[in-house]
Amino acid sequence: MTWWKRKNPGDELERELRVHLEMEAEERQQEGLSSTEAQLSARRMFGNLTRVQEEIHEMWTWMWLDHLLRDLRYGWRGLYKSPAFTLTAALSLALGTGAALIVCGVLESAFFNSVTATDADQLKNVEIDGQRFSYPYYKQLSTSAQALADFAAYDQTKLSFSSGDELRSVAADIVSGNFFQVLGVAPVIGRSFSGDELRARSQPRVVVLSHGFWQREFKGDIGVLGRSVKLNRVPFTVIGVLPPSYRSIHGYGITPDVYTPINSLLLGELDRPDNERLQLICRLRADAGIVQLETSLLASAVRWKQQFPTEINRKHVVRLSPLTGLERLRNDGVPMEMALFLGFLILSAALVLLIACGNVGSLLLARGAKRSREFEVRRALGAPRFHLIRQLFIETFLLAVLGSGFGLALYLVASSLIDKMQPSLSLPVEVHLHLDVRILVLTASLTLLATLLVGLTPAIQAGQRYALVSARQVGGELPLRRILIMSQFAFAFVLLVSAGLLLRSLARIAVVDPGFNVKQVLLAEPFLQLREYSPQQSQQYLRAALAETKRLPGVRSVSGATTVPLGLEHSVMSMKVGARIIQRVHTNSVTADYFRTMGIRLIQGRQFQETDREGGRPVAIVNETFARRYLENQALNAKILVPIPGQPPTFVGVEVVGVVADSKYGTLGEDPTPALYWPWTQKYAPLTILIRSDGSQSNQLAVRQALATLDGHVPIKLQLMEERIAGALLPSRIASGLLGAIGTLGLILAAVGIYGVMAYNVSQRVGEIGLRLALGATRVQVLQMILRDALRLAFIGLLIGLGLSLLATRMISGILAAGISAIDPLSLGSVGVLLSMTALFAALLPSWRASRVDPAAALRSE
Amino acid sequence: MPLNKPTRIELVQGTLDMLILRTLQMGPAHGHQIAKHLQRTTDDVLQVEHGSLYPALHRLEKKGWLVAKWELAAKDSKRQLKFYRLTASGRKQLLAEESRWSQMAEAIARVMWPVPEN
Repeated sequence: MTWWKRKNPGDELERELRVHLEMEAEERQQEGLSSTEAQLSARRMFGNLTRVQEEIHEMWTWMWLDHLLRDLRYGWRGLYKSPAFTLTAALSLALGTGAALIVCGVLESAFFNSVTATDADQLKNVEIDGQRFSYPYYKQLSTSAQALADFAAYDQTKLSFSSGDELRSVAADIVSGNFFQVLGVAPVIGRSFSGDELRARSQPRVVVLSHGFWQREFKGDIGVLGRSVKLNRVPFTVIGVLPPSYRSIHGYGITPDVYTPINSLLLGELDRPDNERLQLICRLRADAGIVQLETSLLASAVRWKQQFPTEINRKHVVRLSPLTGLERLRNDGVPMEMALFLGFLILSAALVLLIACGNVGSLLLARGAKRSREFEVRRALGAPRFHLIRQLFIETFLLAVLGSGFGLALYLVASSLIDKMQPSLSLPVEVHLHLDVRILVLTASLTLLATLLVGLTPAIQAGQRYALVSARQVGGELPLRRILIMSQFAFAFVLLVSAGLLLRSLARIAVVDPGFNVKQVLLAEPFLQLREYSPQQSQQYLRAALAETKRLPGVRSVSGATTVPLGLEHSVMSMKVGARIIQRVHTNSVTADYFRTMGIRLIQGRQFQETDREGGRPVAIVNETFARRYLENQALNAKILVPIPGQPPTFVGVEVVGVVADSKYGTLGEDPTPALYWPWTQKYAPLTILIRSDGSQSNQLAVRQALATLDGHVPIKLQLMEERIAGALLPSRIASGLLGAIGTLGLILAAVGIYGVMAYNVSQRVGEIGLRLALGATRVQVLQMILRDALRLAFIGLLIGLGLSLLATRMISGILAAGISAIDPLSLGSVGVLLSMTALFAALLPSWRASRVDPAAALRSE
Repeated sequence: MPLNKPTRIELVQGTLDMLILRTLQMGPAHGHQIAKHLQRTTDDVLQVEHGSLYPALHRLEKKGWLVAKWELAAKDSKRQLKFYRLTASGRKQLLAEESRWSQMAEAIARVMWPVPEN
């Protein structure tokens, strides 16, 4: 039987016992006693009625629940009555948990690539020979392996978007019509692409918007569905908006603005087998094995290459890799160091939480000292020790709930702040902090963790107290207090040293030389494709644009390049030197003045000249790495075979006429990579115009006007090279920002905590101090004594911290920038000094207060 | 008056349960009846506070050895009483305790009144 099934169990019990007493009394009366006497006698026979009732009641009810509720009520009242304590403790915990939540949120959003998809485990990234796919190739693969998996293709590009009279470039994903079905993502309003749009070659053109783009451009207007927008000057009908939580397949917070089917954009070029620009993903069918699929794809690849042979024939490699997690990071070439560093960020958040817990622990310790009398009384009245400790834990739990509630609020505030300050970058990166189940679970676990960590202190203290006869006769220090002070110093030391080392490393990476001069270079990117110029017309336009901008006042040099380094897109290809195949060479088609404009040093040979014309002898310039690795430093006049796309592909020999210094092409962190430049005059492609000026402000406007006189209908995107670099530095900026914030937070918390413990320490020794003063100690002596004591503890803590941080920094030594040692005397020394100062200041006020103790009052209170 | 009897003995710990189970083996009874029965059959030697009977009854009920039911004391009576009845597992428990108890008593007896070996 359970308690809730009983109709008021207390009543029934009372009736049972009453009947017993009545019957007993009746019997006594029959024996000749008076009614009153009989009742009394019955009661005597019975014993302690109340206790019996309580005992039985406890048997049947969930007594622990009653106790729990009572303790919760009691704890809440206690916290409510001392708001200063409660707020301080809760805020400490809020900072700790908030920091942990924000770090996890940012990392999850920006780095760990949780691609939005149903059953993301079944989704694989498809790579064959490390190359991209043409549309016909994609079709062949997906048809031949359709029994095993569904394939979808996508490519990242930029489109012009007409908003009013203005033309802007937007980040677009052009995707196969089944893209969202394969991902298993449905738009939050409207629909995704249908089968018709899969097949249709032109009409109707449709587009799906990202949530952010919808908010920015259309103010979240539902009426946007069915409306026509112009992309590359062509009308597209908006058919859907993706959910706000949608994370694109690109990961790293990259969020394209619009999605449109491949067919509606790549009309003419779609069927060309050499137009290899698509990336593939596939969703494995439930009954299909990954090995089976790999085999099938390999067979397909062999068939394809027989059909469309390339000059560079090699063994085919099929790779199916996951879209998320660490493996994705590895596949994307994100250095393990970065992953380690991210892990370290989480660790430092944990350290901050530990320090915050230490704070609250010391606050509770001080509070426990004030409440010792209450506990003595309760203990004397028979409260079991277990009950008292349970109550302490419950109070701590309440504090932790409050704290992590505030922490969650902090997270939400940070989330809306980050939403507002989305950086305008060359990359369409959006970092969002989401409030989802995982964050709530994390919050709950942090609450429990904090409860356990913090709750230990008063519980141990309570345990110790009852081991002794009375709290008040404790003259010296309990070891707990010492441990607390020392551990706070030690944790703070580890945190600050590691954060300091990493910040210095990041700062050093940030000044990594990209190999070219970024200052005062303006990039002007004309979107020519939407003017439907013929190649000749766009060449004419670009030549005119180069000439026009060169004429502007303050302009030092002007050049053009097909690819601007450190951007989203870079072109990489394979080529041959003799019989040797060289893979992944960065290529760029540039005008004559490119190296001058970028400040890239010419080491050997000559620059491109106007005489390097189409139809003339094909020439190229390589970088140092190329020359050293593949040409044995005999670069000049060497012949390199470059594939010319076509059916079948052919090779053309180009002659190296110059060697330039290495620079960075894809990312700032990359190792020296081979690169090859050819003259734009021999290899035409759309250009971005690079303008080096003397830095006058009117420059951007002047450039825009000059280009507008050529053709006012060409949208121009202007960007400073420095801004573009800033985009490349974003990951390490985010990281160092987080780290700096966490380090500061840790220091503040540690300082507050140390002060708290020191103050408590002094308050515990008031009696002793009073006695010393009464016996003739001077106030200066007392001041010295307390200070010495505090600093000794701090010093031991620092030593422990030093030992621990030597261990910790050894672990992170792999991710430190070159030239920064894990045992960095500067970092260790400055953190040591900083914490010693903190300890000194934290101890000063309590010591001074101690020296002001009135001996008479102090002794009386004893 | 039972209280004045000088020869009363405190009940050995844990035996109350067994005594209750044994009493109920004779048929369902309410608390007062059980108390009286214990008092009568031991000639008031065992000191069983009536009050201590009830926690024991409830404990046994919770363990499932007894079931309780409110019934009229007699057909003509208006008074409802809570009658306890032995369950099958209660019977088993009684057997177990009985054998345990007799083993213990035997063991004690062997120590106290040893039979000399010859």
